[in-house]
Amino acid sequence: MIKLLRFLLGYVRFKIMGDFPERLFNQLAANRVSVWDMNRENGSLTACISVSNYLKMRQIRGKNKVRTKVLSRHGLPFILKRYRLRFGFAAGLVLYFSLLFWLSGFIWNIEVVGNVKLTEKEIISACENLGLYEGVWRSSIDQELLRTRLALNLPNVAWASVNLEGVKATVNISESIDTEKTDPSPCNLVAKTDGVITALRVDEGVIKVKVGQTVSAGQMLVSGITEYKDGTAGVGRSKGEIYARTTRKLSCLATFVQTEKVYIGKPQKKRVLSFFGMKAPLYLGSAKGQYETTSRELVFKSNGMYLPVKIHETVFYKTDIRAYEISEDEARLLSIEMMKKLQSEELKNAEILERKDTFTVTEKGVKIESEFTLTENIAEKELLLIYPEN
Amino acid sequence: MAANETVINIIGNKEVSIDGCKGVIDYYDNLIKIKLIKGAAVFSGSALTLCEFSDSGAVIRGSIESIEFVAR
Repeated sequence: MIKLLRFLLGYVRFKIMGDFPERLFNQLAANRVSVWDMNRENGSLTACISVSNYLKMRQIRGKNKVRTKVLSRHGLPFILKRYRLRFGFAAGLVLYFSLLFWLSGFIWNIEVVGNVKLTEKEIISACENLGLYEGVWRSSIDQELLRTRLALNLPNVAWASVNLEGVKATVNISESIDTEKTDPSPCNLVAKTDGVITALRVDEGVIKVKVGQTVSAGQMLVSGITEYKDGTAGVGRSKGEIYARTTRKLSCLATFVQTEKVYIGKPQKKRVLSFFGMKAPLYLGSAKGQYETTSRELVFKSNGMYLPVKIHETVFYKTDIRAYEISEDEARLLSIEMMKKLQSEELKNAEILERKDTFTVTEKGVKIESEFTLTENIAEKELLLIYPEN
Repeated sequence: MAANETVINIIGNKEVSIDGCKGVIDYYDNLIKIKLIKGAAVFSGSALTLCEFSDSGAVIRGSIESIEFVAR
């Protein structure tokens, strides 16, 4: 500590030449001037003394008929004097430390931990609404608010917290365990379409139909009302699956005049620089007309941490719609493709037993009508409405 | 201990601190003579250096072989 203090204040190593140099030390001691590191070198004494005391010593030495000579200078005052004309260096040093201190006051990265079903993007978006985002001033973050409101604002989150470590914010999420939500309301199961019953799988309720029976749309399949032997009745929820053989018709039209999207011109790249959440475009002008875009984000990483500097790059592909005509055969093939797609959407939960296609050529195009024979679950819930007796 | 007495602390034979010294009488590599409040002390040895010296005290370091108290 004393060594540090001596360095900061500055000191010199000096030599005493003359008779009885010890007397000078005694005079210095009497004048409360301390010296240190005394050595005898080649018949003369050397010692160290602080800069301020050296000036005092010069006044004292005259009375003792000795001469002193500075051998070396040490300490911060001499270093600063050496570089006193280098303003740029000092200014640069001050700027560097100021910038470092200032930048450390922002949040550079946000990391999400513990999410399973929720995406990182959803959580970060929720945090943004509560005042936590990349580039925000650290002291403006209300951790308590985030802790209480984040769990409320996000679906199926049991607990949430935010930890600030330096320039990084870590959002800890604990999602709640999903339990099957059942509607306790009493209901019947009715047929949603006509069909012939092929199989029954009933968990709750009273079965009103049997395998092989033909049912019509709206007919009750499973009742929620249970009648007891003593004449009373209970009301409950029907649950189950009733499979039946049904027929469905689907149709679609493949027109002779088709349109397609074509790409014209050169793709245009436009970049935006993001620094601490502030965005600056690195291009001039905007894209006009119809475009398709692809985007990517260039991030910079250092020591496992992402720097708060990003480049968003969007590529614009100009498109145009071109119309063209197709032949009857081509339209027929196209209609089959369209029906395939429609079938996978409409009949995804059904087992197709048979399919009959009929093609009709119209002025506009080729129409395909498909008749499907299916096995599907035809049960749908119908709420039981209970009216009080008057 | 009286306030007008010199106090000498010795650490092994490597270091001596002296509280209450009035000055340096002789200073050599192998001999340092210090004036005490009452009398003087001669420190003999080798590679002796006076590391600290002020009006309140002094510190001698080196290989100290003997300490002798003399009247003056």
